[in-house]
Amino acid sequence: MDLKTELNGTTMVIFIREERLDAHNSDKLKAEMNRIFEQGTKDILLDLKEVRFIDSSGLGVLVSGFKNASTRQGSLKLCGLQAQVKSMFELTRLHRVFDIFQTVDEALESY
Amino acid sequence: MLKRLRQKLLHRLQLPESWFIFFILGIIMMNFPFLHIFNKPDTIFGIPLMFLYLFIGWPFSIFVIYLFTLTFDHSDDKHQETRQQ
Amino acid sequence: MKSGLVPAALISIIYTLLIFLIAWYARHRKETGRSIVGNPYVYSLSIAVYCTTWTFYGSVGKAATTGIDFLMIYLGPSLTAFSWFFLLRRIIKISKENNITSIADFISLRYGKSPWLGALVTLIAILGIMPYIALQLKAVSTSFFLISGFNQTQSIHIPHSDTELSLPVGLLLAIILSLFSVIFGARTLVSSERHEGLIAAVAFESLVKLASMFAVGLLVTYGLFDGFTDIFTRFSAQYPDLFAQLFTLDSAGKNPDYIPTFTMFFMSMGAIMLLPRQFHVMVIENSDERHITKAMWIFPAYLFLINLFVMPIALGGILITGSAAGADFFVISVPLTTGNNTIAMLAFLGGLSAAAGMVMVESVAISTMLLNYIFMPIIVRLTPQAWFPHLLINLKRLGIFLVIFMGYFYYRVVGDSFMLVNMGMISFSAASQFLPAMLGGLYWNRGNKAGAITGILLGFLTWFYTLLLPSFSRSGWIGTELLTSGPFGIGLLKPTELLGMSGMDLWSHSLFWSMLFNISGYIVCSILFKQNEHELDQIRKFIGIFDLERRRSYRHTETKRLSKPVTITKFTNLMAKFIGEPDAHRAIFSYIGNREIDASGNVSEFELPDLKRFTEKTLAGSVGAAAAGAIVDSFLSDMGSRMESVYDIFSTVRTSLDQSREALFVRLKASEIINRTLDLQIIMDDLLNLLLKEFKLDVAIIQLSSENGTLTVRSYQGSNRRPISPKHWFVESRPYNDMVLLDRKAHIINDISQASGTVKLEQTVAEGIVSCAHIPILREGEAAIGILSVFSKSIPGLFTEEFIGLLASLAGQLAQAVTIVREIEAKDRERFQKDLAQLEHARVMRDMEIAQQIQISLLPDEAPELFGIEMGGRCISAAHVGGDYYDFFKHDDHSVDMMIADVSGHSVGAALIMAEVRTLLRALVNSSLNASTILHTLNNQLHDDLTRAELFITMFYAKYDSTTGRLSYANAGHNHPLIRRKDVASCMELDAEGLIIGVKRSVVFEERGIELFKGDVVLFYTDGLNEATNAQGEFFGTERICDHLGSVSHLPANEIIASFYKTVAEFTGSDTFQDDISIVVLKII
Repeated sequence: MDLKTELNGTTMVIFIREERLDAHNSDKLKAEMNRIFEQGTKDILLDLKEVRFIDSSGLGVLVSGFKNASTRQGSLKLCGLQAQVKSMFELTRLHRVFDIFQTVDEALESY
Repeated sequence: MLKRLRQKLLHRLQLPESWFIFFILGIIMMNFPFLHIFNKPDTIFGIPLMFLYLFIGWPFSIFVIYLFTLTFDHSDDKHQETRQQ
Repeated sequence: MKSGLVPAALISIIYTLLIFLIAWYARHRKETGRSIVGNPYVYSLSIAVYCTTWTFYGSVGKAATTGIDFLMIYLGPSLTAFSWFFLLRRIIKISKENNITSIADFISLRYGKSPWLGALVTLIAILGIMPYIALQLKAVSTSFFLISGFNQTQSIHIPHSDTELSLPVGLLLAIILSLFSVIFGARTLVSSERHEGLIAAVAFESLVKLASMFAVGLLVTYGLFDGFTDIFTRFSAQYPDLFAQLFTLDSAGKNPDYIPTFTMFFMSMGAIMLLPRQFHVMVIENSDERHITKAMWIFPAYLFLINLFVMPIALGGILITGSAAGADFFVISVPLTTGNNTIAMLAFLGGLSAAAGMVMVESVAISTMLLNYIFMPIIVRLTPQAWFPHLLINLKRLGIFLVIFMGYFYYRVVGDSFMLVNMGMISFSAASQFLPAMLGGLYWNRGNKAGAITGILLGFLTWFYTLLLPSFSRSGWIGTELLTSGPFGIGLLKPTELLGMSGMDLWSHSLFWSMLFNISGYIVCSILFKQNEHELDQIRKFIGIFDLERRRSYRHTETKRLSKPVTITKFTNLMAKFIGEPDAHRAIFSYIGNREIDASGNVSEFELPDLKRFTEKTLAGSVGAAAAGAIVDSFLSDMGSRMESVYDIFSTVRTSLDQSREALFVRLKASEIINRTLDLQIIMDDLLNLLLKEFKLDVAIIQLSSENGTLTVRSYQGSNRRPISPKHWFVESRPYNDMVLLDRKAHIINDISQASGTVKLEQTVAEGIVSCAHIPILREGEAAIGILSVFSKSIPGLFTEEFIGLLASLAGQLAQAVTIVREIEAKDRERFQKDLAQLEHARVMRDMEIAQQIQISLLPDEAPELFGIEMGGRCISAAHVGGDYYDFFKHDDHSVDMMIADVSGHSVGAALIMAEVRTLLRALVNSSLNASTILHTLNNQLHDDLTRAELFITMFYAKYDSTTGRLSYANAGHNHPLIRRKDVASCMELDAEGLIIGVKRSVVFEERGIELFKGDVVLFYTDGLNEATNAQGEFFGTERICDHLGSVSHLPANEIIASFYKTVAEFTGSDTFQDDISIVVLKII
């Protein structure tokens, strides 16, 4: 999985450079997020700008990441959702759970 | 057309065999029995036969050598080209 | 004294000054680096030194007496020009490579630097050429008297002694020419250098010759007569018999002076290359090989032009003077008689030029030979002194005087005779004796010294006996008895009729016998005797000259070494003793050039033989090859050193690639060893044993560096082995090993007793080692990964460049093998890890299978049946198992619950959650809870487990009551089920607020309801259906689902489900799905 991480203040921004976030690659993202949390970073911002499709496995990873962050008094925020991904969030009502932003900058301002 | 003919001719002359043939031909033509043909006291337009033969044959042979030297220059060029590669 | 004397003398002096000026200017230009001589035209003109006074005056004389056959002397060389590109180019190349100074040098060098052969050639040249020089002097002085107005036109006659005393023209000429030759031909000792002043003068003289001949020709042909035809017609009318005689070749031999065409032809062909002066101008003075091609036609053209008017002048001369008696000087006398004094003067200058050019070049060429092969053999025996360079140069100058004055005295003593007139032909005949040795030397491998000496000597003796003696006799110096009755009255030995061969003319007879003896002597002795090593060396240089050039890219194989190293300085001092300090230093600097010099200012051991050869070659340029060889050899022996053959581990049989069979064999064996196994230890041991066996080495060791860079002995073979410990003698070689690793070059000690003292090798010496080599084990361009060390206890000087090359190449192969083996080991490690990963993968796969089994076992076998509705449900799992789940719960005959859910993730965990959901549901459904409460309860119950399992569930729960026709439902983030109504072209989506299960506690789910009518079809599905993707990456999507539902809504529930699977399979183009697809259909009937 093609990921790029960038520490911005106390927030780790993960850029997901994949078109799909699904059963095939979501485990890597999970591992990466776990690693970041292990290192002590509490806030993660996921940039899904390039992700066109997300399936239930992908959502599962985000949910578990969200829960993980919550237990650490941190946060998992999302930004750059494409229409299809957004509809998936709306379907599952997860858009009510996550803080979702248009762009990375916008998201970073919220901290 | 003429240029191609010239190229072709020069190409043939490049062969060592052509050189050898002309050399032998020259020796034969300058010796008996070949010389017998012209070994007569006759004249053509007032010029003795033998004189005419030698003084026409000689420049011709020089011209042939000249043609040969042209081919050497050519092959030299070629060698240089290949060397540069 | 006639009045003509003063202007004649004046013009001669001015002309001489002009020549000096030209020569001086050419030399000046050369010194300032802008040579005017280095072009093909000057080169061609300088070759025209072939045309001497014998041509200038003699051709006309011969044309007037024997006729047109004189042309053969020019037709021969003209034809020879055909061969120049091959023959002359080869000779020039060899000469340049070896600093050859003369034809004697050339022949001597080819036959193993034989001083005897050189001396013999020199002797023949002097004997054969001296009279020729005499002829030149005579012609000039005669013509001088002619032009001065003395009445000499009737006969060729030397002036009386009283006039000769008052103006010794011959002597003056000899002195001037000697001075000129010394100044421009022997300024420095280096004879292989070009003499630009001399050549410029000669070329200019050739121009004058041609111009004056043309002037006379034009005067006679078009001034005195009316063109060629006029002369011929008038002559044939006046002397019909003579006309017929002159224009036909006398094949019957009526005229005693007549020389058959073939003899003349053959001798002139040889002479053009072999006369010392011709060799000098064509070979030694050649500045660029490329000039040959132009000279090939310019020189014949020159010959043609200079001979064009000879016949008309001869015939015109006879017509004008009335006889052929003074024909030799028609060129001057005809213009004089007709009052054209200017033309006559020009003709005189032409003759002077012809003589001067010839004498100058010839004297320089012969004096070089004299110095190299007559003086040097004596000088070499003396101890070199500081004044040697002066001695040598002055000896050379003396040689020039000697040659010219010998010619002069010859002329004074012999005077006018048959001898002198025919001296040209006699010279040619003498020069022909070099032909077999020369051509054989260039093209015949077997031609050897014995053959060359025998051939030339026999040819020379025959020439002397059959040509020179009869000439003497005809000149009246010896009695005629010898000719008429033979020596001691033995008729068979008559010089002119050897073995009774009569009926042949003098020239052909002599040429036949001398060539016969010469060639057969050469061939027979060459076959009978073996060549010595010196000769074999030269043969490679001479015959393989072009191969040598072609193969320059290949490594030169050195087969010699100096037993004791000699420094560059010592060689320089040696050279300085003979050629002077400045020249010696210049030479050595050019040699060192870009060669590698070690710290002590010396070239490497392998270069030493080369340096020795260079010294020889440099000296050869001044003192000739034979003397140079002798000088260097005696110098080396004084130093206690000598050239010795290296111990030849390779036989002398070499293949085309310049590799011996042994080397190839060893290479082959080595690659066999290396390719046979991947066990490095076996490879190294076998390789070392191969080296020990094939090359008489005694100990061989391979060290490889480990990853941290330390060298460890990996293989140790050979005699008297002891375990490697810090006390082992091999440890002494550590410094060499370090050096090898550092500079990645082989380090060699060819003679341990001569090794430098910086590294102590006491134990090694005590072990009996005499020579050793350490070779880096490396691949081209990479760092060394180890060291191959080999030791010999018996042979010093074992490690030649070629041998080291071979060892290095074996080390390279070994490096390759080591690298490969190491790579394979790394790959093995990698593979092992991969296997582990695969095992893990298999475990996961098995996990999946279990999950699938659980999943399938949890799904209902078939939908319950209720009046008024029809239901169906099915799940098709993908290879990739998901957590789909659907179920029906029938409460009574008119109410039924249906639900569809998707647990995220694909694992046993998901399957277990499913099972839990199922159990929990079964507990809930029997109560009268509505859909939203059920979801709410489920969420609360499952939250912790889901959080722990990092999973979530989407679920749609619906209750249907057939009595009211109402479907009430709640949704936890699941795909919206679709309703297709009869006669409505679109679908309705069923949605209700609700978060997916497992994200948050106490989520509020909305309860909704809808009334269903007859013909309604409700489709519940999981995301596997709408997310099915085709090859273009498009999703199946809800629109397609809705459309398809519309088209199949009339079918029974199960067929609707089946048609969906079929359609999706067609859409994705594959029988297996990326994700599980579950479909539940509710149809109201």
